[in-house]
Parts: sequence; C-alpha cells; structure tokens
Amino acid sequence: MNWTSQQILSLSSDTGSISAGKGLSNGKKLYHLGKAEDYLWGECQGSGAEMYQISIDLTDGATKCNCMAYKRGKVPCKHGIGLFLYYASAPDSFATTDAPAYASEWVNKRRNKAETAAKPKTEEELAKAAKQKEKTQNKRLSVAQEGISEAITWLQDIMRTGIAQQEQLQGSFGNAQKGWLENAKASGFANMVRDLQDKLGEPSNPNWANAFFKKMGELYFALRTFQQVEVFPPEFQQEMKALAGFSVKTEDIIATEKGVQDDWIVVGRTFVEDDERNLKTRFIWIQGKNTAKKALIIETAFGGANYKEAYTVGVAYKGELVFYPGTSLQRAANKNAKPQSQRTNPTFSTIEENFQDFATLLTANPWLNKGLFLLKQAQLLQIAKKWYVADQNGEMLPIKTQTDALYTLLAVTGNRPFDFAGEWNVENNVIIPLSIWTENAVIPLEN
Amino acid sequence: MFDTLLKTAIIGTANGAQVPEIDSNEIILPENISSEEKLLLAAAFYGLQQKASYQAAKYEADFPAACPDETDVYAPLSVCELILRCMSKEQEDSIVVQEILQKIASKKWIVLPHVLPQLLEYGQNRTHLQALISQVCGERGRWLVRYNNIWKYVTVQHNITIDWDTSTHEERLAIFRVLHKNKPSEALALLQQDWGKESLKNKKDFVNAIIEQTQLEDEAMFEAILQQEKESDADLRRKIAEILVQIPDSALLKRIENPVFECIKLKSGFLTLEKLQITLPTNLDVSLKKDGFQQVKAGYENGKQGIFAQLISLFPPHLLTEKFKKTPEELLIMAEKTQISDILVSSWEKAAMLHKDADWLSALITTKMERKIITPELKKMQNMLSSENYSKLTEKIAKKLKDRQLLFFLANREHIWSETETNIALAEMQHAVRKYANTRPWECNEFKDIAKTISIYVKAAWLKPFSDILHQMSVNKEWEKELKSCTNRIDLRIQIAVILG
Repeated sequence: MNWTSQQILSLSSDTGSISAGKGLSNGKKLYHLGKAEDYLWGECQGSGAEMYQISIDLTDGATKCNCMAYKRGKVPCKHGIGLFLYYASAPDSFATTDAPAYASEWVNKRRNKAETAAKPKTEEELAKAAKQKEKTQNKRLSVAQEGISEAITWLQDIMRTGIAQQEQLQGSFGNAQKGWLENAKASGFANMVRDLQDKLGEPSNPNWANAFFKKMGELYFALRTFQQVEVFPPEFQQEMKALAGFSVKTEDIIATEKGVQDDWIVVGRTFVEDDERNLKTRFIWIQGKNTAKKALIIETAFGGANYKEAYTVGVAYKGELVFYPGTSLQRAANKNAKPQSQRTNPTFSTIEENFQDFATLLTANPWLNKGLFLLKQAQLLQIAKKWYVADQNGEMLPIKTQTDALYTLLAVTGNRPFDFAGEWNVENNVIIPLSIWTENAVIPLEN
Repeated sequence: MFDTLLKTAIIGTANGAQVPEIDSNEIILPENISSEEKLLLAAAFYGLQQKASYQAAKYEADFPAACPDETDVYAPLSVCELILRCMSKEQEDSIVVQEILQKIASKKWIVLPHVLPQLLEYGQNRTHLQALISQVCGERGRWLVRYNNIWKYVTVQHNITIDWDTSTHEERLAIFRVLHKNKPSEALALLQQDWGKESLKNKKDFVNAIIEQTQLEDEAMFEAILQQEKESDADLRRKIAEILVQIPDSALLKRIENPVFECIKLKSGFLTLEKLQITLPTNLDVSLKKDGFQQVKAGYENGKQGIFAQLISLFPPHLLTEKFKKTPEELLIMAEKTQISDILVSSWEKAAMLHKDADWLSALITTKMERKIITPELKKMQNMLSSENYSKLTEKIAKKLKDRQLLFFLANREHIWSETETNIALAEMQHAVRKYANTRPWECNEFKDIAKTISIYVKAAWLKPFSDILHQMSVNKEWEKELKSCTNRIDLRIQIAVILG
C-alpha cells in the first residue's frame, strides 16, 4: 500500500498529535530509520536523553511508541505520526535492514495476538458465559423498565403542556429524564433524549418543531416497544436491547457468536466526540469482499484511551467478523481478521440497490439512522450551488461535506466516474462522503 | 394530517388543542389510548414513513464534461508528499516549495491531483510561486479553477480567456503578474484601459507586481505616466522610476545620468591616490520631482544628502564601474574615504539589489563579511545571487573567512547549495569538529552554526535520497575518521544529532 499523508493523518483524530507530528515530519529529529517488508521503525529525539522508539505496521498503519503519551492512550502519538509522514515523503531514507528487537517483537506480537484471539472457548465455558449473561440481562431489564416508565410519562406530559412551552426550558430541558435513563442503564434511550435536546429550538433549522415532534414519536415508540420486549422473537429482543443501550462485552460476542469469514474491507470512518462525557466514538464501515455484507464496528474510548486497531480506510482484514445478535445484523466485532497488505476493492452498486439493502435493514430496525452506501461509477453534480452525487442511472443524492473535502473529491476524480463510499444519513437525507476508490489510490474523506 | 397533529403538539392538549380524527386507512393505532399517546404514535409513524420513503431525485441532463486528459507525467508520490509537508503550517517553507516546483517544472512533470487544492490555495497569496504552479498543475489544476475562481492565476499562461472586466482586484493582480511575464504588451494594454479609474493603492499594487520583472515594453506606458501632472503621489512615481531605470537606455536613465556624474567624480592628483569626489546635488527641481524624487528634511545640508542617496540608489552601479574603469571593490575602498561613506555604500547596496548586479552584490557582500557588518541587507543580497555567481563568491570568500564567519556566510544562503558550497561546508565542519571536540556540542556556538548549515543542506536533500547524502559524507574519509576520533570525547550520538540538525 502506498501511504499518502491524507491516509496517515486519518489515523488520528487528535489535532494536537497531528500538529506536533507534522512538526516532526521533516526528519530532523528522527534517527536509526529502517524498514522490513511490511513494517518500519525509527527513533525520535525528545527532550530527554533517551530517544523514543517507534514502530509502524505498514499493512494497516498501526503504530507503537514507548513515549508517555502513547502509554496514556494517544495512539498514534506525535512521534508515530511524524515518522510515518516522513516515510511518505522520504521513503528512501528508510533502508531495508535487520529490524531492531523493539520493532520485530511488537510486530510479531501483533501477528500472534490475532491468532490467539481466534482460539474458541470450550462448551462448558460457553454455557457458563450464557447463563451469566442471561442473569445480568434480566437484572438490567427490570432496572431499565423503571426509568422507561418515567420517560414515557414525561413524553406524554409534553404533549399535554405543548412543545412551545418546552422551548422556554432551554438548557434544562430533558436533563432529568436523561439522568433517569442513564441510571436505569438505558444509555441508548438516554442518547435519544440527547438528540431531542439538540433539536429543541435548533437555530439552524426553521422547521425544528417538525423534526422534534417526529423524534419524540420515535423515542416514544421505542420506549413502548421496549416495555413489552418479552413478547417479541429473541432476535428482535436483542435488537431492542441494543437500541436501549444494553452493553454487551465485545469479548463475549466474539466468544459466543459464529464468525463470518471474508476479506473485510474498511471503506470509511466517522468520529463523534462527546466532550460532556469525555467520550470519543469511532464508526468503522466495512464490507466483505465475497459476502458483500456490510458491517459497522463501533468503538468507544473514554478520556485518552486508545483504539486497539488502526482500521485504515482501504485496508482489508482477512478472517472472521462476528455480528451482534439482533435482526439488523449490522454491528460487528473483529474476531480474528488480520490486515492484508494488498488492496481489495469492495462491491459498488447503484443508488437504488443501496436503498434496497437499506430498506431491509430498516425493516429489521426502524430506528436505524444511518447506513453504508457504496456507489459504482458515481459522479459529482452541482445544481443551484448545491452538490450531489449521482449514479450512472441519473439518480442523485445530496452530499454534505466540508469544502476542503469537496475540492479533494473534484481534484482526484476530475469529474470522471468514480467508485464512492458514503454514509447515508436518514434524518437529514444527505450522504456524507467516506472515501473515493480510483485505479491508483483510495482516498479517505473523513468528517 | 401531520401538520394538524404538529399544531396540536405545539399548543398542547391541556391548552385546548384538539387531536384530529386519524384516518384508520392511513395509520392503525391501538384502541382506547389517550390523546397524548395518539399524538406520539402518529408522530412516530410519520417519522418512520419519512425514513423509509425517500426517493432519490433524477438527473435527466447530460453529465458535465470531465477534465481533459493529462499529457504530462506525474511527479513521484514522495515528491508530492514533500510539497504537502513543506506547505503545512507546522513545516512551512516556501523556499523549498519553490525549489521542488522548479525541479518538477524542469522535468516537465505535473503534481498528483490530490495535492492540487492545497497547492492552488498556497499559491494564492504567494505571487512569486504562481507562474511555477501554473506550470506544474496540469490540465486538472486549470480545470479546478471553474470551482474556485480565486485560483484563476493558473489559467493565464495557457491562453484561456481572461475575463478582466469581471475580475476582482486580487484576481486582476494575479492575471496581470503572470501575463506581464509572458505577454507584456497584452498585460499593459489591460492595465492601461482602467488605469485612470484605479485607486492609488491598486496602482501601487500593479507597479509592485512587476518591479522584479521589468520588460522593455513597460517604458512607453510608465514614462507617459511620469510625464502626466495628475499623478501626484511621490511614492508611486518613485516605484515607477525604479521600473524605468531597469530598462537599458530608458529616457529616465538618461535624465539622471548627468546629475549622478555631477555628484560623484573620480579625482587624481599629482603624487596622490585616486579618490572619489562627492558633490551634493542642488535642491530638488521640478524635473526630479516628476521622477519621484522627494525632499528629505532630515540630515545635513538641508536634505541634499537625501536627494543624493535617492539618485545613487536608482542608478545602475555598473555604469559607474564602466565610466571610472574601476572594479566595484576598488570603488568601495575609495568610498570609505569619503565623508558620506555610509550613505554612499548603503545607496549602492540598494542600487545593486534593484539592478541585480552580481559583481556589485559580490563586492558588497565580501566587504560586509570582512568588516563583520551584519545587516538584514547582507542576507538579502546573498540570496539574490544566482547559483553560479554564488559558488564563485563562496570559493573566493572561503579563502578570506574562517570558522564561524564562513559557516555563517554559508548558512545565510537559503537556496539549494551547489557542489562547491557543499564541499566547502563539509570541510569547514570537519575543521570545526576537530577544533571543538573537547567542547560539549550544545554549549558551543560553532556547533549551532554547523547544525544550521547542515540542516539547510538536509533541507535540500530531496534532490537526492537522504541516504546518499550520508553516504557522501562518509565517503569523505577524513570526515569519517574525524567523527570516529571524536567518539571518545564526545558522545557520537549527540554529535550526529547536532549534525542532522
């Protein structure tokens, strides 16, 4: 994979690390550089006497450094970004040579770790885990129902007093109810209340009351459905529990669910940062090469904690993903898939076909608010100063992106048809560009 | 139906709003539920219906034409990445960007498309790069202009229709600068059509835009402006004069030739050395005022020195060397013996820079370095010399300067070093390493100079792989030996760290 600075910078969402990393990318403070077939290494002179030792796995862009920031969870740290950027602009400075122990040991450990994770649990262990899971879920369910009843009453009260009166509450609207739901461990519903808070009197939307009312209805419908969740088939129960925010440990999912083997191609990523809760979330959109199945890996990290995998756009992970139980089977976790160095292209199709896929998902979970669209031979259109992405059938979707990303799109494609990955945002009916796939390169367009 | 429901929800059922009858053909709701629940479930229905029923709009017309195919070869990815690096806020170095672009242009390459938006934006406020960017941006760069008019400067050189009348001042300036370089008559014709209507600031912008790229065609228009009474601003006149004196045999040059040689004469007497005789000019006359000369109140002789300085700093210095049959070095020595040597030398510096006179620049740099007169003009003059002239000067000056002075001199040069400068620098660094081996590197000023010089060399390292440069350094056995011999006294790692800057 030929790494461009755009791909490298997309590995981090931390502006401080990016800026400091760019400052190191002239190579002046980098020493003992070298590379092997699929990884590279180097040392960086910091303020202390000892140099920092950095390793980079070229298959997926994962980095390792022995600095304090890395240990505290800043991954990649500024040293990793600096070394990687320097490699992009001066690859000849990295001679092919024997790797130092710190680099080879880390890479070998990464490779072995994926194999260890694949080891299946015994039946006895699985049964024990399932029993424990059921016990925990039942306990949580009864706690959640209390908070949910309170929230239902609150929504009915709003209908009684009127939405107009809520606007006067401004900052305090929904805070108590959000707290009840959080205490009831129904963080998914609490997030839906947070969405309502954002929509109340939204200055950028003159029709905010319209969206607010519909959102209230959706929340109410979800809460009412959840009140009688036991009457539904087990898969839908799981879907509802996930919607309510019943967290399931990824390790448990990996241990208990059957994996789906494929080359899983990372086609795009989006980030959400919640300053209020010091929480960052990463949404990684993936498609299987053979199954054409779309998957979404969601990773959250508190404070400065780091993500385990790089999941660089354009990299394919060979192995198994497991899907969270439910009806939509969209959310997934990586069981044992390992990054591959050769490029693999996803399957692109028309807007209509993408909508058909999405309709299936919506049937399984009507509360879904986004989906992955992969458009074949798309083209950009500018109509009345607004931008659209169209397929070869002439169907078009409004595009929402920053000006810089739009210019990159135009520059890279030259208005020739291009394969395109985007996130369809149901609420706003816009597509958010994730990546472009040309013959020579995969260009991430992150928001 | 939804609007009526919404209205009720906004007002509230407790405030007298009635829930309308809901058509059971449209929405089936459970029986015996409260009005509030009816409202909420109906809202949920409409919300979910909206999600599921989105229809993509249809585009019936032909798709817009794609960008024309490129015929030139793309520059390698690593070179393009280096441009991005040097344009980034953290590593910004427009000199290196310029050098890379020159290199790409000389190879008739174009930059990879993903670099274009940032490169075109970068050139927007860096006018000295615009002509180069237009050479390396390819068809795609010019095509992108239709989406961002502010990048229009790249289209000027390529016979693309220039809509001067509809362009903003900034766009006109960019167009004028590039067009003037390639087709001066066309550029001047465009400028002339609105000159009378332009503001003073805009006029100054246009004049400043071409002061470094004067053409023979400029004389007619600008000489006519000087002769017009209505152009009253002295600064603008002075700037125009700076353009006109750069044109050989221009009328202005002829007008100031006599006053200059009235002021400065070479005198030799019986048994005495030749010397310069300075006669300050008489007061400012109307003719000089027209040519942008201004009365300077400060100083001796009622500002006569000011008029003298203005005259000398406009006049091409090579005409003095030709007239007096003396080298610049000889005239500089003589100048030191005059009563107004400071004014004379600083005026010659300005003149040498205006006329980019390599002989005079070299002589002035040498004199300043020998006398340790470190001024901002010194660095400016060093960087005005061409690579060839600079190498000659370096060879000459290396015999006169030592240690820090020589390294300082080399470090001042911001352009890529030639082989001569590189070899001299390496030799000097060896010398410094040997001399200061017992000193801790970070406490030694000389080492800072070494680091600075090498860092500049490394800055230019894109010309050849960095490993080649290190290899080149180790090929020099003495240097390698010297480094090794220092190992016992100085931690080699720290030394390498200093060397690599």
